[in-house]
Amino acid sequence: MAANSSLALLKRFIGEALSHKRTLAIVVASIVGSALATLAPPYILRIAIDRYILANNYSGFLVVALLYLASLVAQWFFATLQTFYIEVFGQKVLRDLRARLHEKVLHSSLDFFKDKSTGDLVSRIVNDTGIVNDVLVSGLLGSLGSLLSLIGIIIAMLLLDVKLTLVTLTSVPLMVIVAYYFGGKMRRAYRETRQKIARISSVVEESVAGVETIRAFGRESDVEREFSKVSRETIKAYLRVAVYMGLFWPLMNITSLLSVIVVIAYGGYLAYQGAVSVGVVVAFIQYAQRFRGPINEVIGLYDSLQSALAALERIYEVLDDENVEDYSGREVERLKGEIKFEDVWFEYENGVPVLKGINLHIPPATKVAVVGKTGAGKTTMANLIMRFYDPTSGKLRYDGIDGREISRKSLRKRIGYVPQETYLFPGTIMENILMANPEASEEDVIRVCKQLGVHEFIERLPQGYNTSAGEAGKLLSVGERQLISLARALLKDPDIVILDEALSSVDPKTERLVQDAMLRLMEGRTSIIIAHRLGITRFADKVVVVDGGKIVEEGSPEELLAKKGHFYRLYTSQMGEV
Amino acid sequence: MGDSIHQLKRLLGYLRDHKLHFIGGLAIVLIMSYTNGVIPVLIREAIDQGVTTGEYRLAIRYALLVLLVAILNGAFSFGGRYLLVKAAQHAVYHLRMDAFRAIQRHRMEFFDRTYSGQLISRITNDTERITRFLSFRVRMFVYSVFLIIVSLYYMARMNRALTGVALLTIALVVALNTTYAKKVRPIYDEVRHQTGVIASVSTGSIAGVKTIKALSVEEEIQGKFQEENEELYTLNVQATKITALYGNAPFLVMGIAMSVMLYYGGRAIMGQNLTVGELTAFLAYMLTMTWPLRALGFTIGDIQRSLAAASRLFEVIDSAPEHIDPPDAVELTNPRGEIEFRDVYLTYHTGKTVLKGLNLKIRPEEKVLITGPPGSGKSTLLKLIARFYEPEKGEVLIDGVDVRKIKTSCLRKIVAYVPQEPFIFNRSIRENIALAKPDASLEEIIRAAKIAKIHDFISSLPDGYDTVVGEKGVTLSGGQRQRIALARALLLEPKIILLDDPVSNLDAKTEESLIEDLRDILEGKTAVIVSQRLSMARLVDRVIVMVDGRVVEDGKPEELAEKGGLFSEMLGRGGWNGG
Ligand SMILES: Nc1ncnc2c1ncn2[C@@H]1O[C@H](COP(=O)(O)OP(=O)(O)O)[C@@H](O)[C@H]1O
Ligand SMILES: Nc1ncnc2c1ncn2[C@@H]1O[C@H](COP(=O)(O)OP(=O)(O)O)[C@@H](O)[C@H]1O
Ligand SMILES: [Mg+2]
Ligand SMILES: [Mg+2]
Repeated sequence: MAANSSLALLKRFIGEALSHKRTLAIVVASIVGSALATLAPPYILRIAIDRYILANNYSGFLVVALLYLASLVAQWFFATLQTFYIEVFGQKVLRDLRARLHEKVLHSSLDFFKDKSTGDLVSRIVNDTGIVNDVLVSGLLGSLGSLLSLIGIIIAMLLLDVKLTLVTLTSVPLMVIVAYYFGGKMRRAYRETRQKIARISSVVEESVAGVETIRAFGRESDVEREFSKVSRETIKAYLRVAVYMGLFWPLMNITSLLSVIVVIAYGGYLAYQGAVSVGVVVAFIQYAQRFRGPINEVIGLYDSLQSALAALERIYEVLDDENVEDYSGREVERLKGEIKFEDVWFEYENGVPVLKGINLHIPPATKVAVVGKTGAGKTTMANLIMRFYDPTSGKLRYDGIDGREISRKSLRKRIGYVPQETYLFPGTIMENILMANPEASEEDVIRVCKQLGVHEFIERLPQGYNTSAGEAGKLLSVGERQLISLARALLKDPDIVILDEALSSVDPKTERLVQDAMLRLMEGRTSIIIAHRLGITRFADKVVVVDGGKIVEEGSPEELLAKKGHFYRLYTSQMGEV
Repeated sequence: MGDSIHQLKRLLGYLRDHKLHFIGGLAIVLIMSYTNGVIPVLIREAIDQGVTTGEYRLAIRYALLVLLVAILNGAFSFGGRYLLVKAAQHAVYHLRMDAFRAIQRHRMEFFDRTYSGQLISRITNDTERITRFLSFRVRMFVYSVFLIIVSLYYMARMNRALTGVALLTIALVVALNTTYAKKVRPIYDEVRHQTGVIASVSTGSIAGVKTIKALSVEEEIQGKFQEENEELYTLNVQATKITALYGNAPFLVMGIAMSVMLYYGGRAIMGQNLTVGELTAFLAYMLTMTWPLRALGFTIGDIQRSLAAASRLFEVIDSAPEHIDPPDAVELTNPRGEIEFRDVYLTYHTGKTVLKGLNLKIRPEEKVLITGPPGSGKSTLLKLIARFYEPEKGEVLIDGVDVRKIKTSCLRKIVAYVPQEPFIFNRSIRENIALAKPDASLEEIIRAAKIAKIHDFISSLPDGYDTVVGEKGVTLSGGQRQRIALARALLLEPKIILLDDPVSNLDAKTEESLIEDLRDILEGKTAVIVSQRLSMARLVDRVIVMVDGRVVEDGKPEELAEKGGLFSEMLGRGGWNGG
């Protein structure tokens, strides 16, 4: 990462974080207060020893002791304030970042998801934001305090005695070297343990999610071997951390004691010469032991800055991605259900056209069946109707209006779409259906399910509509999931429905019953059904055969069968002779 | 309490051959806390005997002594830490392996009940906590207690009254820290849990993004996320409040104590009852004890929780069946491939009874198509043959032997099962197909892929068979996953092959040629195929229609088609696949 770009990254982040001004003001005040309060006690101690205790000065000693108390209380007070407000500030920044990321993901177009895995995106929302908070908010603010107290300590020492200060400071470079050398190594070793733990968790995850397949193919011992291997590697990683930590802390301790030793030796000599007082030496011994914390913290921050910047970069990468859906445009209240593809070309990847000049007119209230080989472009056509993508060239018209002018949101509200891969959210069946229409009641759900003939399938489940779907629907049979997604799409009371191989795991009879019921419900509205079981094409007003991104045949099923073209060949190959 | 001790004993039992490391580590820590306690004493001597009196040679001698002790202390600290970490890591390794093996022995029902996130958390978070307990917490406990004792001893030798102050302070601070640990830990647990919720909501939003957009419910989903997000924020602020108040309170107590010491100590010095060095030492002891006291509080607050983590793991271990195979399990050599269901009952943990006394016999080398409405138990039937679930009553037999009595390793060789939603590992396609036969040659793999009608797709990928698929690689459609899984099964050459809905996403043309190829491949094998594509009937000798867990029709495809029952209704007016 180039220095100036990380600086720009930081600047932008700080600029955004400044929105919580009040909290930040309190934070800064408490940091300054805290730094000042840390310095006072040794100074007061020195005065107490030199001017009162050793001078046998009873009068006023109580005041000095109370002053000492006051400085310690102040130290506590500011520390409390600082702990609380730094964290609150950080959590606010963190909460905003997470919300922005999640919203961004929801508003991104499907292109955005093409090269990203779910786990990676989730990790950006959960882990990367956490790192940014730990390092750039708590860390930065915390070490600001450390830096201040370090400077303060040095100033206080200089005020007491310059020579002794210089001598005391000789151990500082040593401390910096130790902290820098081991700090880096330690954090890297520590990071490695995190990676190993992440490996363990992905092995467990895979062995749980893939348990059926692992058992079906007798791979248990291999999985166990792999688990044992990563577990052993974890031990190694932790032992490495133990070695570095084991060296680091004693070394820091020794270097810090070195200052004390120097102060004793040299201070002793100076005191013997009468150049400094005993109280000064005692105060120096106390100061010398206070370097360790701040130096450690500042260097630690510097080291973790790189990983925080990397995390920040990953966050901004998502926030800045330009593949967002534009929700502006004309609001449509209702659609008559006319759809027109006008010389539509479409490519997912530049230069690879998937749809090649589609012209198709779907008049209002028609039932259309779209058939064709896998990869022909059927789902792509549905994607375009849903405006998940817009045509590369050409137009889609809804009731004569160019699709690009209609707001995506209002368009989708009017279309019920059941995708090829159904997805059920964790929760009950009722919750899953209900989410389609926030205004619908549970009665509406039951009514729609009854009308579709899905009701009895749901009622057969142990808790009926309150049966839990489980993670991604795993507690339901695949066919049941498809029926539920269909009910969900129809709860919207849409003007157009699109079923994309939506009932492929449902038996033909149920499919026919459910589909007929749906078509009855959709009477006077438009239905588009993509399917491989060609039997269902008989209901259609129009059959469209797609091949290689083009429409190769179009017409009523009878016409096409009589024509003995593409459709006839497909049909007979699957259904036997007509 | 007795329970806790029992759990602690069981946990310590995992130390096994690292017991000596553990005990040795603790002994070294004990010595270390002594050397650590001595340092302030030496500093005091340096001040009193050297600096104050002007005997700076003596001061230097003491200074060097401090250095020597510090080095010794460092060596002990290193040794103690290393030995304890080593012992703890090995103990937890064994515990982890036990838990993982137990998970592998568990029945499928266990996985239906448990969210995968929970299991991952057992194996990672809970074991981490136990490691921390066995290495860090135990070390800090011994160290802190002993250091406090040593410090108190030296303090008592210097001045009784001040030691009393120190003692009182220690008691207060330990109490405060223990309360702090007890209060903050549950909230941190909630924070962790809530973070998990945020992760799972995000996962749902991302995995279901197409559904969300199609339903146009982005706002509602974002609203739900905001709620959880706000909850996480509130929990974090709550934790911070406790940390700020209780975590810092000991500093206040210490501050007051140190002021009292300064005042009375100062008076004592003036009264010739104490030396400056001694007072400095007292104050130094108080500072030195700050962290041990905190550690002590945390350790006390953590014992219960670490043991709870251990008991959660023990529960996973104890609830697993001891062995997957009964002791009298047999090998089937030269299986004929006969399958029989004898009065089989099955109820899932949700309370759904799927099979109620199923009787069914499939002859060796017979090809059977099973069809029926959703939820009728077709997939369940296949899972019973593959022994993923066990009937609560009745038996499933292969060649007349109860599948529960067949050695698992043997059963897996005889039976290949392609689930309805197969799992694709995050590896190359080649490795995925060669799952059960890692030494398969590329030719074999390609042959299987060709029959499964996935070869053309794989060759169209830039990296071909080496393309990594799954979460981090190319994402496959459901149909593609199924065909890769089919290739997987075909590579195995099993006697019995179970296919669950293998062609649901195949177009008519590809389906046609797949059926042709399967015909040869299935020669000499028993095949049970669940499908809603009734064109598969052309491949089989027998069709079974299931409704509600019962076989309602059973016979040759042509016969059933004529019979006028459910199967012919499914077929409808025209040829295969209804109209
Ligand atoms: N998101 C995508 N990015 C790139 N190519 C895609 C994407 N989705 C589909 N394709 C390609 O577009 C073609 C048509 O796919 P699709 O419309 O899904 O076919 P169908 O639904 O008819 O099986 C296929 O070659 C497929 O590989
Ligand atoms: N793991 C499971 N836990 C609880 N219920 C299940 C589980 N798997 C399936 N079911 C229920 O058992 C019934 C039969 O399921 P299944 O055999 O998958 O049906 P299908 O005939 O559609 O394959 C369904 O009602 C389904 O909801
Ligand atoms: Mg498709
Ligand atoms: Mg099924």
